[in-house]
Amino acid sequence: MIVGKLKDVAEIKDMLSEDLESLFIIGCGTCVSVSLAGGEREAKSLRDLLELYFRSQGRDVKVNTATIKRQCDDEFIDSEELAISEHDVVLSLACGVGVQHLGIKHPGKMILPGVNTTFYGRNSDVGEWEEMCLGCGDCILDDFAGVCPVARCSKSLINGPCGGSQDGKCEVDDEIDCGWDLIYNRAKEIGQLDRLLSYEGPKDWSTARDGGVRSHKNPEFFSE
Amino acid sequence: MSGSIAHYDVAYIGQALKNNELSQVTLPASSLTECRGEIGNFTLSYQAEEELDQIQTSNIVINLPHQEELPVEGCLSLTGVGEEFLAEADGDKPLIIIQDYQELSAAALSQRGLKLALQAKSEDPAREVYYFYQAMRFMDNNDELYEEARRQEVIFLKHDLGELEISQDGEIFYSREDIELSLSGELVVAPELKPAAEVDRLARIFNITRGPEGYLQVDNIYLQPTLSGKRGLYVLGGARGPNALTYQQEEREYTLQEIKRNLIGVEELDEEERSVDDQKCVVCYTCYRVCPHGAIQRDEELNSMQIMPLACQSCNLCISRCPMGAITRSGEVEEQPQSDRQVIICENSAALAREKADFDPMAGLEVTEVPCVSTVKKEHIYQRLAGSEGDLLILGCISEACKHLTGHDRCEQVVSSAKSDLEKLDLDPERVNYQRLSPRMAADLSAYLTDWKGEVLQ
Repeated sequence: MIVGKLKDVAEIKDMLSEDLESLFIIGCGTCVSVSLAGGEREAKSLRDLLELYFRSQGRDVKVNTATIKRQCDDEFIDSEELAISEHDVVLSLACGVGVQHLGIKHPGKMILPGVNTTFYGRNSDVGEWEEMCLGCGDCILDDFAGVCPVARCSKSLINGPCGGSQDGKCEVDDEIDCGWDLIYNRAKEIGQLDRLLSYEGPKDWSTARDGGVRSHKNPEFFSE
Repeated sequence: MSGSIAHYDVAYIGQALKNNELSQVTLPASSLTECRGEIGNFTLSYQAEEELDQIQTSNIVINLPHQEELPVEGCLSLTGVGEEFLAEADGDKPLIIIQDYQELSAAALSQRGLKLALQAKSEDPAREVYYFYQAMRFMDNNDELYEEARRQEVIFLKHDLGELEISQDGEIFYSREDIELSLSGELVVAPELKPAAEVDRLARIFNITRGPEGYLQVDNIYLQPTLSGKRGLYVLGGARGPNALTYQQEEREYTLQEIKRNLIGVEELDEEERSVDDQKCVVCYTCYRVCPHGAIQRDEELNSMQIMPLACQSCNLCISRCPMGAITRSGEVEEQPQSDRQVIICENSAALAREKADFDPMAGLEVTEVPCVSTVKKEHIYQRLAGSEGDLLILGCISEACKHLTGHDRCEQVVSSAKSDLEKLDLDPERVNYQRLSPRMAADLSAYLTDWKGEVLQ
């Protein structure tokens, strides 16, 4: 799942111009709702907080809100077309995908991001998420006992740990588990330690960001 | 559910309680895979030989033994020695009984120790019996046993931290004031009690809040003696807590009485209905995870979350934390308080303390009573501050007196986050205050409110 974190409210305030007259906050009802960053609850409380702020400044700014299922699909955005047109600025609480998709659909409108898109992760506890995947475009989990060295080793090493691994923790931050410690332990548990002995050649990063902006098509939807 | 699934009055996870009136089934904790449903109609899935099976039950009792850890390897455990131990004893060796070696032992262990000391003296009055303890804990007739043991010349030696040491080969070194003692003999030590095996899994399966030591019952006045936060689910022994050995018989009787009462009929605890809009629900499980009463499950047909009406205890925590605003309650009204001095109080603490006060400490304040302060959303706080120039005070419960177990903490998290956001926008965070009370704190409530009103008026 795409995980997000609501931006600091002071940063959001600083994005808004002094002459703003109306603001439309759009929550997104899928990934960022599940990661408790940009759903209806956050949209409404942000609306009320900003109203309180504008009032304290003696400013009369109209703030409205709506939450749609997904901001990355046209069909859901269409329902808010009128509301978007009626406001000076849109503050999107979607991930970076949703913010840009809104911009593509509404080229003349200022669309601001209200959420920081943090990573692809899992829910590890109530209100807590952990990065699991970097979206490198060439999954190698089968070679590493199901633990990703690209995302979960801070240095993305694929031929064993660096010298900074201590007591299962990473030298970058001792709050982070050493990815290679996790790989080793899990490989041991499932009897695949021998697979870790083979040398991995340099990873082809062209499927990741190094190959430029990525896109793909599902052939079942296209004729040659 | 299929009508072919057997339905029982009670399902025991672990050991069954003796009773001839109830239909019952016993399942090992390790076999259990899922619990759905609520009091009166739980469905338990479990691994039976090679396939999954299911039973239905009106009530569930988790009754598992504590895990025991001996503070020193190689010695005998006070809970493990039987009559044959004394019969086979070498009378020339002193018997050394130790409780509270590293942590205080339960009263039931004191009782076992005292009985063992008396039995040893009864078998062989000439045998030396030493009893080391930090604090003798009393239950039933422990005081009589203690007095009798003294009369029988059991040597009681009190120790504090660091005054008693057991070496690896079982020798005792005791040093206190003017006494220096080294002893060896037959050593019997009270074990340290730990939560039963499998409680982690069971807490997940039943979705119940655990205490800080890992037991399935939190320290809370609403959960005595064997209640869990989930209606119809009872916890005993090593599932309940470190003191569960003390009043075992009473706790068993209470549990059976409760089960029988439940079988007569169970009512919803609140007239208001809470429902989930399946079109808005994104199945994020936040409500499920925060519910202190294990009252929420996924509706498999609708693929949305579902609040079970008999299990729900009406705290509204799920409503305030739902990221999609998908949960509503029937009696909900939009309030627009305007007063400069607004107070939101929990009906289980501040409201009761208010009733007990000699005069109304909330006179002149705009008071909203809520079932639990976890009802409060951040948007409520901002709306109230926007509706007036005044202050907002929220009065929740102290931890042990919070009927909804985690409700007080959840509210404090919301208030703290709201205050932080206000500060970031140069708005006065002191306009919102949060305070914890117990229902017995009428005097504290009055004093606190007097101070707060004074500050607000300034």
